[in-house]
Amino acid sequence: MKVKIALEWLSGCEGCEVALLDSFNLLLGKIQRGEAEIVYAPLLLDVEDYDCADTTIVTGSIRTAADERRVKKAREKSGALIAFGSCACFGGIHGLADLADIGAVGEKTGRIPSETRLKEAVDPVWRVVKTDAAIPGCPPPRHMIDNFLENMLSPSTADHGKTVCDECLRRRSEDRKITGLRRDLTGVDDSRCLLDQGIPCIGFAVSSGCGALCPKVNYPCHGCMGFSEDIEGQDRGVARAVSALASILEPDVVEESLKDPVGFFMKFTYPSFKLRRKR
Amino acid sequence: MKPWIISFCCRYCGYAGADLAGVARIQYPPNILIVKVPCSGRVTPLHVLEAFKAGFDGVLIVGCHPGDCHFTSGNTLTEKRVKLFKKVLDEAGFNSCRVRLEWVSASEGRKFAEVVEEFTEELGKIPV
Repeated sequence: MKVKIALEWLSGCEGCEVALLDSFNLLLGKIQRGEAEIVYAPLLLDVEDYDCADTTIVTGSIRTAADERRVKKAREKSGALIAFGSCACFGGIHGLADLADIGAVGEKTGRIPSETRLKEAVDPVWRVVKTDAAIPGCPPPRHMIDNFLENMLSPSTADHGKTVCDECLRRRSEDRKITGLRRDLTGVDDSRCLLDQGIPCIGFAVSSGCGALCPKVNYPCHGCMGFSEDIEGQDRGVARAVSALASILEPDVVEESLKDPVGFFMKFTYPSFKLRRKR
Repeated sequence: MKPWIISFCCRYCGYAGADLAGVARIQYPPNILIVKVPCSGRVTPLHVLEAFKAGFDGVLIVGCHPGDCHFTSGNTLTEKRVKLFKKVLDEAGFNSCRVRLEWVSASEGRKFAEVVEEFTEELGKIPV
C-alpha cells in the first residue's frame, strides 16, 4: 500500500524543508518503488488541496491566523501529524518577537494583509492540535531525518535521557565555579568546556541527538533540540536549567552575569513557556 | 480565597517560625498553604513554576538566615536559584514579585506573620 505524505509549512525560514530535501533520495527511492506518494507539498508540487494523507510533516510555527487554519485542516485530513523542526515543536526563534509589543512588530514589517494578520502570540503546533511525534532541531540533524524517512511514521525522537554535554568531547572541570559570563567568543580554548570558560552554553540541559555540532566548532549550544522533556513540558526544562546554572554561579554574579536570560534559556522554546507574556 | 499563596518552609527555621506564630496565636491571613521541606535548598525553580501552573498567585519560600542553615549552604543555593529565576520570569513577562524569599528563624513567629501579611497585601495590588 502506498503511504500518502503531505508537507505543510507554516511560519518559518524554510530551512527545515531544505534539510528534508537533502535526504530526499531516500524518499525518492520509496516513491519509485511505489511505496510512497506525496499528495501535498507547497514546496514541490503545484497541488492546492488534497483529500487525505497518512502522514503530514508540519514545519514552522503558528504565527498567523492562516497558519492556525491550515494546521487544523492538516490535522483533520491526516493520520499522523509530525512536528518537524524546532519551530513546529517549541515555537522557535521568532517567538522571541513576542517579547516586544505587537504594534512594534507591525511597524517593522509594514502593512500586513488580513489573511496573514499576526496572532497575539506565536504558538507551537501542540498548543493548537495534537501532534503524534516531534523531530526537533534547527534544522533536525541528518541522521534523524534519514531514520524518519526510512521508517516512515516511526520517527526517532530526541533522546530525553541524554544531553548535549554527553556528546561533547570538551574537557570539563570537576569543581565548577563560574565567576562571570561573557558574550564574545575571542580567545576560546579548543579543548576546555565552554561554560567553564564563562561562555553561556546551554548544552547541559538540552537533549542530545545533534552530536554536539556547535560546541565542536567553538560555538556555544543554543538549545535548538529543546530541553530533555516532552515538547509540552519544555518550561520544566527551563526551570531545571535555571536551577543548574544558578547553582554553579558565584553568589555575587548571579544577577548581573546573564545579559539576556530569555535569549539564553528559551531561544527556541519561549512560545512553549507557560508563564510567558500575555496580551 | 484570593490571593492564594503556597509557602515552602524549611523544617528547622521557617516551619518552626510558622509553628511559633500559631502557638503564640498571632493573627495572619489564612490564604496560605504551608509545605514543610527538609531545607530551603530543596526548593527549586521547578517547584515555583509548577505552583504557578497549578494556579497559586504567590510563592513564598522561607528559610534560615544566611549562615544559619542546618545543612550549611542550602539557603544560599536557593537564594542564587530564586534570584536567577526571578530575572528570567521578569524578562519573560511574568511579574516576579509573585515569588518571594524570606529568612525567618525559629524564634521569629511575629516576623512570619508580618511577612505573610505584607505579601498578601502586595499580591492584592498586582493584577492577575
